[in-house]
Amino acid sequence: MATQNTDLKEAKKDAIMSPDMYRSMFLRQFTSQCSQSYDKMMAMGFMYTIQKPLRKIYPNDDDYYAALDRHTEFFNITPHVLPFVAGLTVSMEEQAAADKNFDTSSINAMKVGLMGPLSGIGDSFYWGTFRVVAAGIGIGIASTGNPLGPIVYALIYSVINFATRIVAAHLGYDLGTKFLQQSEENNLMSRMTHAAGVLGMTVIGAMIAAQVSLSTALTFDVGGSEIVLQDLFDSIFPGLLPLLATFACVALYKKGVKTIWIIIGIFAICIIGTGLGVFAAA
Amino acid sequence: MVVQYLLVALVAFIASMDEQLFGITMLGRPLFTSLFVGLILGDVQQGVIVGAALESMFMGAIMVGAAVPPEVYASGVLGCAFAVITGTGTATAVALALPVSVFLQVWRNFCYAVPGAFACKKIETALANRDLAKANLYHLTIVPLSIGIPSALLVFCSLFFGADLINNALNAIPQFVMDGLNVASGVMVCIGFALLIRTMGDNKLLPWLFLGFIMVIYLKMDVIGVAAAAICVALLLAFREGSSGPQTVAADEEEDF
Repeated sequence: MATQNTDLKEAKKDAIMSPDMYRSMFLRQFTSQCSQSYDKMMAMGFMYTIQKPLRKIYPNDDDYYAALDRHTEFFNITPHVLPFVAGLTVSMEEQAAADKNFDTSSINAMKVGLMGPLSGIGDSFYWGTFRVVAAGIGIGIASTGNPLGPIVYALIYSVINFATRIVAAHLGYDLGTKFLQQSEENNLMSRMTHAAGVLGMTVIGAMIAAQVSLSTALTFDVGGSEIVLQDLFDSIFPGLLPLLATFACVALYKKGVKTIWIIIGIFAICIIGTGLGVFAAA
Repeated sequence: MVVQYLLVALVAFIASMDEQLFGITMLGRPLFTSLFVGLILGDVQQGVIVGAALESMFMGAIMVGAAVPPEVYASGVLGCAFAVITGTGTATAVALALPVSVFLQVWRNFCYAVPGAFACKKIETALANRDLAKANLYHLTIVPLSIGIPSALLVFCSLFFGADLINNALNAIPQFVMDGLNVASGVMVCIGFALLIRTMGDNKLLPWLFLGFIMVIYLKMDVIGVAAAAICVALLLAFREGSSGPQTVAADEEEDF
């Protein structure tokens, strides 16, 4: 049974991720941030990236559009490592098409779980290391007015940039295919889904703390001594305001408020609040 | 001269869309664009020197996570062009690039908030109508153009009318509005997380969210550290022996957040 499965998958693998599929994904992943927005981030770009392989997996229009719809959920990652997740996703979609019992929500759970860790790695490598090294060398040559500086900078960064994106897509797809085979045998999939949820939630909590910023500038006069409210927060519960802001948004979404109104509300509250001195300027 | 200004604006137009259309090739940054600005204005050497100086200045301006960094693309092109034209060198370039950079950063935030949300809506509608070509057209045009066109216009107008005029206009925007917009861009990030929490839709997972939050706030760990720890926990959960995982998970999924 197991060998039969393997043969089946080998045949499938050749059929789905052919070189032209990789080429299509490679060209399209560059536009991952085209429809960047605060509520979806690069979801639309991700959906655009994997369209060709998805079409091949789902020849039927109904299934195809259902799959596209799945990938319009919030997604955000360092764009340079997106091909890895794209490859992995295609392998999972392939599995979902072959196995009717496959829980498609696990695909998004996997994407959410990988966002944080991969972005952490991606940001520090591409922005923090490769770019800084390339720019450092380029600036050194360019500061005397030598036009080779910009060219060397572009070459160093681009070689790394393009090569890793090509490799990442293959890596993601191969890893996904291999892993799914194993997990199918041990009936691991549903436990993996739960574990992915745990991973995703923990990382979201960490990202709220690290990325959402809001602090108050309010001060109170108590018995002649001035109390800075933010200092009070900082000593008891430092991230209170960002956490409150996030759950206020969750509550609004639960009430069915549209994203655009939440965005307008945040703009209005922040501008007025900063004008009145309630919020501290960033 | 107007032709040269137009060409410089074209460089700014393409450079400002690097993050959107070209997936952050880093080739829109001042160190590389200065080569073309120099070529267009006929002084490659001076252009490259200014580009190197601007690049050093913007070195720290990086995009991490969902935070939007100061705009370096169009403002770098403008600063470089102005320094080459006036022959006043890097100090002018930096002085000019900064206010424009701050303004264009706010503009970018606005683009992600309003044209971005608009683009997503249009794409979803097109998908619902099964019109993939239209969805892809919206994807490739709405946000890139709403960033690229104003950036290029600002560069062209600054060169054509003189930079002082533009800077005075930018300075006329009240400080509290600019501050407020910056505060808003810090808060805006939470929208995506709120949607995620809502989509994952499981109250029983919420303690994990607070755990991750606490690890950063009180233990001062960074996100990579938390993610690494969370991967270990997730693997332990996934591969624990003799658990009745599938059943509990199935029960969990019934809960709606």
